[in-house]
Amino acid sequence: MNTSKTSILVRIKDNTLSYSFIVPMLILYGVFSLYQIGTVFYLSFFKGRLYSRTITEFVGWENYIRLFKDPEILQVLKTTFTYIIIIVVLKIGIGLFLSLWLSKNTRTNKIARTLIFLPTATSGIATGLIWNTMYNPRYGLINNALNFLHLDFLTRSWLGNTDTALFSIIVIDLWHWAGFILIIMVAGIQNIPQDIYDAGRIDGTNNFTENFYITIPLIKNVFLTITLFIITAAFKVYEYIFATTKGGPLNSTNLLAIHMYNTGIKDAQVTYGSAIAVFLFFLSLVFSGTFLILSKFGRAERE
Amino acid sequence: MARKVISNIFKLVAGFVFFIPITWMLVSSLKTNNEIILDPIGLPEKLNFSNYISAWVTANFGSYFLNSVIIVIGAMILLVFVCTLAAYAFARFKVPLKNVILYIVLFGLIIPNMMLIFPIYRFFDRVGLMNNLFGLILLYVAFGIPFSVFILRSYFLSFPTELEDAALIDGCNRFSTFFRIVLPASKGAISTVLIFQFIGFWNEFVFAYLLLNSDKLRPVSAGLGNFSSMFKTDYAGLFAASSIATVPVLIIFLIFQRYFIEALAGSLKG
Repeated sequence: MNTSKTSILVRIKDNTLSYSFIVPMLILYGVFSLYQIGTVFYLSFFKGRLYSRTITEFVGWENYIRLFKDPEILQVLKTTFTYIIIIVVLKIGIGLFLSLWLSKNTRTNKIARTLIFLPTATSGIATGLIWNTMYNPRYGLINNALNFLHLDFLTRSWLGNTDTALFSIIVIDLWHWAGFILIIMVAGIQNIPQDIYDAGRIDGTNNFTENFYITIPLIKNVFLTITLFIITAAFKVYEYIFATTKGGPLNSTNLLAIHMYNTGIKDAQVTYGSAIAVFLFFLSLVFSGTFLILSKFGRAERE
Repeated sequence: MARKVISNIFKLVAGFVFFIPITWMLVSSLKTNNEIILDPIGLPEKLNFSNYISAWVTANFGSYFLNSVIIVIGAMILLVFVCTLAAYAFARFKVPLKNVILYIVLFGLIIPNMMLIFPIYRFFDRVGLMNNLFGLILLYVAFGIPFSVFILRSYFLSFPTELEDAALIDGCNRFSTFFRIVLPASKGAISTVLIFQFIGFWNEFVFAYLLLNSDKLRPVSAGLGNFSSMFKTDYAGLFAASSIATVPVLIIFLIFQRYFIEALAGSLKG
């Protein structure tokens, strides 16, 4: 009899058969993802327009040199990082508040969580269009509701004003994804074993202080995951802006993704656009890498 | 007791605040353009479904909807087929370079797909996949691979091998073991992947808008893009079309919420 514990499934070493399970996935992933990643790097070293089918003129680092000298990029980065800092603080703050408040599985909490989570299922483009009508200075919900509440002095052209446009986009993003953050945090909180809270009670925590002494420290890694998610998502913000301001007024909502798209598709400068895409890629990679290392480090520290 | 009631009321109010934009969309979709302009926050005088009819027929949302259904179902079927096979091999077989391949695939989790618009636009143009529903389906499947393989592989790793061993001893080959034993036992994990990807595929805008520029082929998300470039805005039409695009997903999302939450909680552990 075979005494080895390894299943015969694992022991059969028939590579052709094993690969036949993987190959369909590899072909699709290879052609539509890996090959395209290679091409975006390749394009960024050439010169050419979007619609010319052959791009032949090799220009070396020229697109990158242009990128680092481009004053517009500097403005775009400033806007993007402003957006990121505000959205990280607000999403984590609101998500944490809501999740501490709604973490227990009572019926009311479940209803509230579902209502907050529901926007996650709407598309970015529908979300952008609906909020565009809500922000409309004359027919929109927000100004009309403010008038109704006799708060007329607060009404303004939310998206048409350089002071409020970026923040208005941030509110759209918050509405769309707060529930997602909430659900992940609630999952993290519910993973904490009850006896830690019981032990805390003996040491004198109450309903309020246990949040700070137990819950928040124990979901530290969830914060890292979520922050990483929020930052990489912010680099991709596109649909809300496409549906509302298209980057304006005066470039005040011109974030990196929309700028990249407009450079490559609208202005048809596809090779310079590719250099921006590569830049975007490295920015995401740096953030993902940093957070992966941080979370590994946090994990090692605890063990 | 009274404190509990008050706290519950606050919780429901907080939940409802998030529901306001959806309410605004649904209520406005039943108003005429005149009502929207004259009394933006009022209720419609009578329920007016003509916006839906004109969105469905005149504004082509009937055909957009059908295209969405074709794209989403096609992509989901292909995705499940491709990813369950691969994830199973990653979880069970000894394959040379297996971990290298796995890491390359999981690397896709952090790639912003947005950065691929230019090469993909050129690639679709050159190989003749522009304005081709099947081309978009293949692209969606490729984008869905990293996440699906990640979720399915961890499921298969936790799934006991005894049943499969027994099937192999009884003379099933690898493929029939997979299709007759493993797949039926993985309904939960597959549903998780499907509900997640369904929402992603249905809502995807950038690539659909760019790669299907023939109006006949557009899905609802791309069809909505038309409303962002109109100077004379048909608000009633916009609200009805947005509702057509949104309500089906919201309903499916509500029904399958559990799987969605499981996927999120699962990805947290990984």
